[in-house]
Amino acid sequence: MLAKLRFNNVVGKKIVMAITGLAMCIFLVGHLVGNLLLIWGKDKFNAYGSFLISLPIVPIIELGLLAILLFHVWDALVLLKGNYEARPIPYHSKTWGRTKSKKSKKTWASTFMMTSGIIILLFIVFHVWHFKYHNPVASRPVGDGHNSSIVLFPGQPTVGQTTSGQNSGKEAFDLAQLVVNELSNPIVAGIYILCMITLALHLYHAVSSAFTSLGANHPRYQKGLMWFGNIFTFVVCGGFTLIPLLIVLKVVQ
Amino acid sequence: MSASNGTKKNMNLKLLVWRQSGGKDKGKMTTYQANDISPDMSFLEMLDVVNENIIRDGGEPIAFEHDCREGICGSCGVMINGVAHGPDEGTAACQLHMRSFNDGDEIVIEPWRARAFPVIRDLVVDRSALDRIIAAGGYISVNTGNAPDGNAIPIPKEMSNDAMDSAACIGCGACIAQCKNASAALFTSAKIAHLALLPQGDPERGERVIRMVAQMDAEKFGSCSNEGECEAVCPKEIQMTNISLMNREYERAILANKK
Ligand code: HEM
Ligand code: FES
Repeated sequence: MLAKLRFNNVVGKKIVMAITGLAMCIFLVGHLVGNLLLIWGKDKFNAYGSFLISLPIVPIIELGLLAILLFHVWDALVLLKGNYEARPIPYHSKTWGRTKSKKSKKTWASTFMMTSGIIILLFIVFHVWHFKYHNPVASRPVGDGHNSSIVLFPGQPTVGQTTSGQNSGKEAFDLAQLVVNELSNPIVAGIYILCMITLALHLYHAVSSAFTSLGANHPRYQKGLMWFGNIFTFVVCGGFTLIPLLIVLKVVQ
Repeated sequence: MSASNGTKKNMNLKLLVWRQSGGKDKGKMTTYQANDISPDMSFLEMLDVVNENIIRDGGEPIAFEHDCREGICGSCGVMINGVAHGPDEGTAACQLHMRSFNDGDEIVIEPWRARAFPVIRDLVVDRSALDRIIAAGGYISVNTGNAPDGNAIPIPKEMSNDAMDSAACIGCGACIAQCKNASAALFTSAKIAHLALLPQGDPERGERVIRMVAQMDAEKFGSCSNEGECEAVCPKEIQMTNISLMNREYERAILANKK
């Protein structure tokens, strides 16, 4: 059956990009809702974190997300190569068709999709290393996360404290504290905020574009889809920006 | 744009034109002076005047394609100052008038650029890739015979409106020329849409979209980034939502594909 589905051309690959892109957008919503718990309370956030870790399905979802991301990036690169080869001789001078008619939706965001995409990719690698694998860059470690009830830095007892599970083999980790410690550093917070702005640029074009690629666009829906994309981008990227912003402004401590 | 009182004076322009004697030649931009150009001339008439002068001086005239000169055949088409068909919305190069320019302007004139559109000479490119996309499925199979009764097949008005809007495509290639990816999505989708929307095109819908997309791919056009630059330069104002329709047709076809 799947062999008969033809995704191996420019139209099929964009359909794959749209499905994977929108799947990542759905993930972003879930991730955002979870993260906003940090603003509500560190214990709420940690409880949510240890709940997630206790679910056996989570590693499967993680692998699925990784596959989705890789498909998205792979197709983006293959299409980029094809697009590059589709015009071997460049124009002597070329301007945006948008100068001629406002019907064009070309923006700086749509022009630099690959650039914003690669920044997001680098950010994802850094972010997972940083918070999933607990590698502080701007503050001291908060325990080692595994089997550790040892307070590493006696000077700051609260920081090193693990919160539960004596014999479980794995200690619940004070992730909330790590996040707050790290994002209190203006440089780290700045990196996160800049990356969220980059994501916003990507999604500003990507969300409505994905619906067009999926075939869901029609003259009647066009305006609505643009609005949906803009509002989605604003809410999601704004929401994510709030976390480092409130921490670096010491509203959340 | 135009001087409304019609008193715009004749102008002198500097042209920067792509000259290339053939497929093997490397080609280069060459400067020409176009003097005493009336604002009422069309863009192609202005090129005619320049060519007269070149011929008088014993040179080779600038080759450019044209036929109807009334915006319906799709033969003409060049990049004018970096935009396909020049600065006027919904206008083919032949219908563009010199009143859209000002005295002393420099005008850059280039052929369409795409791997699938090799330059034949100067501003003339080979657009037979588009013909091959049509040949792959842009038709309906009917038995010949007497002309059928015009009202034998009822078609909803909205459907026929949409189909006719898509059918307005004259195949000039501006969408491809303007697209940053040299994608033929707007052209191909318009050709798919105007048949898919009508009952006569319905029986071959699935096969048509699969074949035409495959041919578009084989011709090495790029992919669509949904920027809509194509729609902005289309002299027939074909809408980008045709591309979404093509994607939808494609999904429908591969999901229902029984072969
Ligand atoms: C959180 C991560 C990401 C999300 C949510 C996301 C989302 C999307 C969506 C929804 C689209 C629209 C698809 C379409 O037009 O059909 C898209 C397009 C695109 N994405 Fe991503 N993306 C992400 C990461 C990346 C990464 C890491 C890269 C690159 C290495 C990338 C490169 C691209 C490119 C180049 C396009 C445009 C494709 C085109 O216009 O032809 N994206 N993205
Ligand atoms: S010459 Fe026929 S469209 Fe311009």
